[in-house]
Amino acid sequence: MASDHLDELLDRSAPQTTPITPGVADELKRLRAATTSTMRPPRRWARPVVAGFAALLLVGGAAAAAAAAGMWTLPWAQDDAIASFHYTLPSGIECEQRIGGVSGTVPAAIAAVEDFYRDADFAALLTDDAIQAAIDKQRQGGGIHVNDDGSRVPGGYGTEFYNADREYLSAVWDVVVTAMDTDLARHGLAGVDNKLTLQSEPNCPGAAW
Amino acid sequence: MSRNYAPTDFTRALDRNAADLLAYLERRVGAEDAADALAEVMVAAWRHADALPVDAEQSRMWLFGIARNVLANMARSERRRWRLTERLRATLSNARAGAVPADEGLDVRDAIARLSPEQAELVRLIHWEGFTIAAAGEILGVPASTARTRYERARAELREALAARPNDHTLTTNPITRH
Repeated sequence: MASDHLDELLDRSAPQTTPITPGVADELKRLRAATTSTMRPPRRWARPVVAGFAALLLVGGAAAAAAAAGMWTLPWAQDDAIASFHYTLPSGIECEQRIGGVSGTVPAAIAAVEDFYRDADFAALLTDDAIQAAIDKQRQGGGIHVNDDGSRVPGGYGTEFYNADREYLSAVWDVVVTAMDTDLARHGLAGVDNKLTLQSEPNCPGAAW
Repeated sequence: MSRNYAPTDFTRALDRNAADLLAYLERRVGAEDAADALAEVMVAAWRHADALPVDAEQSRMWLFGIARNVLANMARSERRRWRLTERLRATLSNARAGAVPADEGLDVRDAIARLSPEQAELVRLIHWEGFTIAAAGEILGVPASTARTRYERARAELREALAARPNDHTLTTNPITRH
C-alpha cells in the first residue's frame, strides 16, 4: 500500500497541461506538416576523410565565437536575411547559415545575387557529392595557418590545426558561392561589378572551431 | 536498433507523439514556450529523420531524447518565437481558458525538485511521461542498471521527504514496483 501510495502521489503530481482539444490536435498536425514540408529533406551525413582551415576566413574572430555560441552578430542576419539553410557538421552539431548584406555598384548584379539565393534550393545544392568535391578541392590547395604573431605555417589536414567542422563549413560555403557565381555568369553578369560583396553568417551552437 | 526511415513513418511518429511531447515541454518550460519548443523538436527531428527507429516505443524515446536536447539548448540561449507557432499558441491559450487550474501535487513536485537534477528528471519521465525505468534511463543516456539504482534512491528520498508531511504517515520502505 505504501509503495502504491507513493506511486499514486508521484503519478498525480504532474502539472496540469493544456487539454488536447480537437482544435489543438488540428494545430499540432498543421505544425508537423509545416515543419516537415518547409525544411530541407533529411540527408545522411557522409563523414569527410580530411579537414582544413579555410573556414577561418569565413568566420574569423568574434564571428567564429558568435557562431559557436548560437548568436547572430550581423544586423541583417537577425531579421532581414535573404536566405537561410541548414546542415550538420562532422561533429554532429547543427548549423543554420544565413545570407544577406549584398552590396555593390551594379543594381542588376545585386538583384541577381539576391534573386538567386532567395529562390535557391539549398537541399539540391548541398549534396554529399558537392560538399565532398569542395573538400577535395580544399585539400589540393593545402592550407596556411596564421599564428598570432602573423607568421604563416602549413595548416589543414595532417597538421595540428586540423578541424573537420571548419573544413566542412568552408566547403558548404564554397558550394553555395560557386553556384551563385555560375548563375551570374549564365545571366552575363559575371565580373560586371568588382565591388559586389555578399555576407553570410553561420550559427552552429556548441561548435569548437 | 533497427533504422529504416520513410517519410510516412516519420510523420506518423510525430503525429502519434505530438500531444505527449507538447505536455512534456509544457511541464518543463511552461505553456507560453511549449509551442515554440515543440516546433524546435519537430524541426530537429526532421533533420535527423533518417535515424528514426522503426519500433513505436523506440521512436517515442528517440523523440523525447530530441526534446530533452532542445530544452537544454533553450536553457542556454534566448527563447525565440516562431511565426509558425502563432496559431498553435493562440489555440493553446483558448484551450487553457476552459480548463480548471489545479495545484494538486505541489508539495510532491517540490520534493521531486529537491532531488538531484538527474534523479528528478528520472522520476518525472517515469511518473509524468509514463516511461519505464529502462526507457527513461535511455533517454537520459544512462544504463538501465544505473537508472534503477538512481530511481530506487530517489524513491527512498521522496518517501522520507513526503512522510514528514502533515497528515501523511503511510509511506514505508516497500520495494520498487515499477519495471
